[in-house]
Amino acid sequence: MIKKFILVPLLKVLGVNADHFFALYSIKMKMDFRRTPNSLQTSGKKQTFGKQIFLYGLIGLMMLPMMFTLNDPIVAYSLFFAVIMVMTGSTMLVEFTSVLFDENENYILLSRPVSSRTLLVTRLAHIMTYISIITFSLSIPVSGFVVIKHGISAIPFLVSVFLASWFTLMIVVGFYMSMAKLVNGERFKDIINYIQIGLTIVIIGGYQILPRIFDIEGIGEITLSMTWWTYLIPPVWFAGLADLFRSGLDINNVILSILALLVSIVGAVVLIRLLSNDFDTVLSQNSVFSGKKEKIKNVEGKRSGYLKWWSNIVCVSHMEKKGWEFANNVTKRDRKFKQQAYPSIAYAIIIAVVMLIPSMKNMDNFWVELASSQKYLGLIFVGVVSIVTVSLLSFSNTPQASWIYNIPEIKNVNHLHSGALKLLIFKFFVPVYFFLSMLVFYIWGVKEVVYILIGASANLLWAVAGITIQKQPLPFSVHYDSMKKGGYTARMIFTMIITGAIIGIVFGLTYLPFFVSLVALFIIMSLIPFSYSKIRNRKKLPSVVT
Amino acid sequence: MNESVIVLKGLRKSYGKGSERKEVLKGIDLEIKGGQIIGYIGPNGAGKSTTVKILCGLLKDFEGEILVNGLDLKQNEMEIKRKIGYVPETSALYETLTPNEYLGLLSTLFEIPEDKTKERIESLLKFFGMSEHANQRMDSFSKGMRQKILIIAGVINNPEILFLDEPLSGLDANSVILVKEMLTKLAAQGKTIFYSSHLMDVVEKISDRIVLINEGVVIADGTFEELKLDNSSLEQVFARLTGSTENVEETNALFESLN
Repeated sequence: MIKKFILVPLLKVLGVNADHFFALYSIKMKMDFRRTPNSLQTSGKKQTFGKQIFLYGLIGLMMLPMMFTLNDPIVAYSLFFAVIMVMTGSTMLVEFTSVLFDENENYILLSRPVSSRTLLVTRLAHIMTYISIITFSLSIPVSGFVVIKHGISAIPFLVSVFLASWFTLMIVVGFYMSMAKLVNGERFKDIINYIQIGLTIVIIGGYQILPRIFDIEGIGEITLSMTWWTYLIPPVWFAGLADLFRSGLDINNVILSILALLVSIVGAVVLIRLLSNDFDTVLSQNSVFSGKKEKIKNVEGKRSGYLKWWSNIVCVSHMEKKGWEFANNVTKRDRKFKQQAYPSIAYAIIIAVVMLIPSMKNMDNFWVELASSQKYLGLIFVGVVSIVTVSLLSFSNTPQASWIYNIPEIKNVNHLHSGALKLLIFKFFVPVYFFLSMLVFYIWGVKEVVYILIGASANLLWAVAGITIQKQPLPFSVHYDSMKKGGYTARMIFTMIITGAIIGIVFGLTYLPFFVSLVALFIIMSLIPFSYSKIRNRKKLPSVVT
Repeated sequence: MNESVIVLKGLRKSYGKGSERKEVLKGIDLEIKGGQIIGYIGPNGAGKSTTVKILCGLLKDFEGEILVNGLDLKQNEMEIKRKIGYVPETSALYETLTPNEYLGLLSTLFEIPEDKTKERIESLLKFFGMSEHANQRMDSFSKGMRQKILIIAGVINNPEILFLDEPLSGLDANSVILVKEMLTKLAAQGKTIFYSSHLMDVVEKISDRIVLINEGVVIADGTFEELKLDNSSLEQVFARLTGSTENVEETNALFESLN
């Protein structure tokens, strides 16, 4: 009934071929339920999906205190919808970009009589299905609260949840379409990759830093006074609609509700009727059809002088140097690696900064208090980055290329592995610790730098020794898809515990005579080359996926 | 069927912008009559696949004019797409579907009446010996099986013009014979076949006309009889016209140095 009397006429008004739309949409959903990391059919997928919903529900639960604390419903709803929109936007950017630009499907559909508009609307509907599930999962706890508190008046709230996610989706797609017109091919993919990384950093940073900026006391009394610019803030529109019935059709809320509905509907019409005509052109410009990848300009010439200098010093063999160069080239270009590694590194740095600055409310005696504290020890936590990047070394989207390790010219593949590992250390670990050591030297002094170096070296030792202990597979020889099964999160938690223990030990050393720390530093640093030699001399090689 | 079904006038296509701009097609002019099998050959990077992708609507930003059945491709894309079939060089399929589901979807997109759909899918699967796999997921198929489904998908709408880009990749000898037979029969029915390939012996045997392109321009166009000067094979004609005879000398020099 809904299909016949609402959806079909609506699609016709929008100029979408309804038969094509329903055929493609149902096939996409069917494929999603069949697509599993292995061929164990759907149970695995459903389980993961169920877990995700539960996880989003938990995040939603964290927003519940905000609803209790804030007395002004418009402020509470505005913050809630701001969170929903950021979550929707980031999920769309990180997880659904490939669905929007599905290159394999472009090959199948662009040569068939499917209109550009139908193609765009089908992909939007497909993405919106998942985005809706996510946003409604996020909203379950708050919805429960709103329903209990306001009863039937909660209906506009649920409509707002849907509209807020739809609005965000439109903004992201509109942004993509405009961006795709300015740049094309590989550069477009690179820009999207950097945006994904940037947004992830902003979100994780925001969660840590924002609560420290605001004065929590008295936050409940914050109210939103309506001025002309408040009508320009999208989360406020959806907040107005959500609060429409409870407020007894307050005039401000009526205006905000009209804005929420109008922008969502007009935006949809503009996107579907006007921008969609270019969608297949955008797809053809930014997909595999544009085949000829941009030339990689003078790779040798552009190689970082810093890394080249270090490679000459720390690589003990020709094959190690090759491993270094190989890992440098891959980590520089592998988008998936960058997407995983950079936010983790940023997260570790943010955590360290947060440890230094517990509150930004009182900055008067900040430096004096900081210099007399032992907060520099918290910076050792940044060492987690070494483990993160090292654990990523084995993964690749094209593990089948690791057949190359079997060629007779590679006499000792272990050297290739240790060279790649050294590159990661000098690319991601050393610069970060150098910066932190300078910071510690500036605020505290030389002695404290030694403590930082003990922590850093211990982390490094753990990362390098872990390769042999955990029998890490060769670089880029395992598919990213198998990462979940490999217990990546569990390893991260374990690493954090180890790092915590290291911080504890260094804390203990600060109470002992200083020469003990110097001896400890010497011993740990001597063990690092020893661990490397263990990697180079492994007899039984980790299995190579071919 | 002596009317021109495909006309290319000054077809140009380039990738990249500014200093990175690379012109792949540098002004292709072609006129193809109905019922012909055109062998479209050329060395790697000559622009063969780019031409096919433009003709099938996968690449849009080209310069020049393309007329299909007298209709301008840029103005009448949907109408033209209904009348053409395309077998791509890559194995682009919805792999988690079964052949029945996948071909059924394509039939819906081509708006083939439901009563004809089942019959057509069944007969095509039977022709290629794929009937027993009709309800198996395609992600378990071999490369050759996938290639057969790609070819079936290319002809599911009974197209007036069929574009094939390396269609024999991964097929066994028996399947190659089937495809050649199918193409010859389609041409006999008045369909136009645009066949892009590296496999010279197949092109030599089935093509009514051979178009050889190199570095984005047509360097030879005619029947095989017209192109060969003596008793040479198409492979030798190709080597002579694209300058790859030098390669033979280089190969000889290499082996001499190895000995």
